Amino acid sequence: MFKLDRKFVTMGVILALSSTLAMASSSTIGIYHSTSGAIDGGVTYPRVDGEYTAYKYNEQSTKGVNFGRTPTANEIKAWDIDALPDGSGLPEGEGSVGLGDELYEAQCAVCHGDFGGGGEGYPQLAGGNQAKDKNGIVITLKNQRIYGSVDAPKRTVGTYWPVATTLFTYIRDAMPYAHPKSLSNDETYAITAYILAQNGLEVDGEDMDDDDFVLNKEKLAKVVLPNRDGFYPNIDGPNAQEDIRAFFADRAKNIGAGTRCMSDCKDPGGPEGKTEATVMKIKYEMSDVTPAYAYAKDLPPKKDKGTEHPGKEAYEQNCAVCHKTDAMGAPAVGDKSAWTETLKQGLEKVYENSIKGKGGMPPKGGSSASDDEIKEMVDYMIEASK
Amino acid sequence: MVCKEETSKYTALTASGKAIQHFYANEVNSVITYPCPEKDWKDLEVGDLVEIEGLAWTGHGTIKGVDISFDGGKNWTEASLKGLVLPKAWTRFSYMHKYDGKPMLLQSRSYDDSDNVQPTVNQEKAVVGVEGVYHRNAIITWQVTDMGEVSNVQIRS
Ligand code: HEC
Ligand code: HEC
Repeated sequence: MFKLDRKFVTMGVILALSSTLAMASSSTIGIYHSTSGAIDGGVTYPRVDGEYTAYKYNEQSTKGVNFGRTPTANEIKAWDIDALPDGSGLPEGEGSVGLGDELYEAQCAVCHGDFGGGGEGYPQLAGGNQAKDKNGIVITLKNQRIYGSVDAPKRTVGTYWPVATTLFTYIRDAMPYAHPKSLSNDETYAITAYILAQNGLEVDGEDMDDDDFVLNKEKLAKVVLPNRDGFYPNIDGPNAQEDIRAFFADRAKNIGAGTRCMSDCKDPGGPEGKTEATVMKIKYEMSDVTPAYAYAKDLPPKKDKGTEHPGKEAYEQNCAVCHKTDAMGAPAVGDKSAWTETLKQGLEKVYENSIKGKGGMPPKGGSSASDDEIKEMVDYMIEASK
Repeated sequence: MVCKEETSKYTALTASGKAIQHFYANEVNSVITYPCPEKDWKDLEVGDLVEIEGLAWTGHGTIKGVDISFDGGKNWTEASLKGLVLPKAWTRFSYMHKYDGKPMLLQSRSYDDSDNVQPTVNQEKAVVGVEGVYHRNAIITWQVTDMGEVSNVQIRS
């Protein structure tokens, strides 16, 4: 451990940055802005016309360097999938509320609950009270659980989300959780339609809550969500960037900031007239979390593995999250009949499926274990289910 | 909220009923890692010289310093930074303390070179409320009993 005086540290940073950069390219110099209100880490790299980035980007010639290649037009097209609130970027396709209902029941309800009502620990997608006050604010979103008696604000698509196209892109890219990108565009439109319908929303005055209602790109772009204006700072229009900077620069007002009082400090944030601080115990300690977080921060002592199955620990780390119960459609460890059924196809096939993936089972359960380690975990799962 | 990374979890719903969006900065923050609930002071004897250690960080720039309070935020004293101090990086701090066996409310408060100071729970709550999932950078308090047990509490008025 060595100690550095602050002044020298800052100097050191500038020197370190500029010397590495000088080696990489003499035209890009990292400028360390130690200024009030910096919001991007204080380090900026000028590009062109006064534009800058917060990260250094590589300007070196790639000639003769063997890494990567220029992506093909098709590859770029496959990556270029974002969609804007006005619907631009959405793919062609369509799907009905009725089909969405079936797909939702089969692929989403286990986690998000029937009709989008929310499952234990999983986000609620529909429901909640959309009523607004005279200023256009969704009333229940003002609930803050500072004291125990208040209901949590419900953040569903109908009460909270500002933009409907996000629902489409989010589902397409990220859901269902265990195997994202498995839904076709038509299926995604169908599920999006179903969730919007469950939230009682309409398009151009047309009620969506009808199995035959068909959603497509044009209609989705027209859906106006109730909480459209519930977010700040403003991110639209030519001044958006400056607005956002100004907003995040005024921290005391907008995001909360402290003061560096050194003695006899009174907490300025407390309710008026009350200066004596109260010590509040935290109601839920980390140890209440299941599975509990690790406590020992030293390396754990080597366990005597003599009596323990060699795959047990790895199973608990990598597989138990889905295999402890059958809630995810996985054969639950301990469920004898489920495993007898699974093993009918032969052990080799079961090994293969767990390595290559099958349905909701990601390849190797999403872990980076070796084939042999996976087999050991499967052996343990079978052993523990006899 | 037009990107997949910013769904209902990543925006900060405030008491006004409106939420802060595109809230990406990792604000100035710190925590004392020794002592802490997992590594307490039960084995100390009165008179022992002990190093209070912790980590500070800020996404706005570079940690400039860390103050320590033993009385829940009424009085503060400067800790020293140790090791490398770089922008947007974990920064270690340290304070040598002579253990006197008395109960205390131990806190750390970091500040950075773009003029941010860690807020108290009250200061943070007054602006962003309590419903945001992230962006919780209020000063953390460890309550240390006369037995050297350490637990997490909040100082509120
Ligand atoms: C295995 C459980 C699981 C399944 C099955 C699942 N999800 Fe999710 N879903 C989650 C989790 C966990 C999150 C929160 C992810 C996060 O915030 O990072 C989530 C988030 C979401 C969100 C964003 C919610 C918000 O308000 O931020 C939507 C929309 C969503 N899921 C839709 C679906 C749809 C549609 C399906 C079916 C095609 C589906 N999910 C299947 C677990 C699941
Ligand atoms: C994200 C959830 C998830 C995780 C994590 C997971 N599994 Fe699975 N697993 C499943 C599901 C769902 C199935 C049922 C697949 C089906 O039958 O369509 C399954 C099935 C299996 C099967 C039976 C395959 C067959 O032939 O029917 C085995 C064996 C298995 N998993 C082993 C593992 C192992 C080993 C791990 C950890 C390395 C693991 N799983 C992690 C969800 C998961």
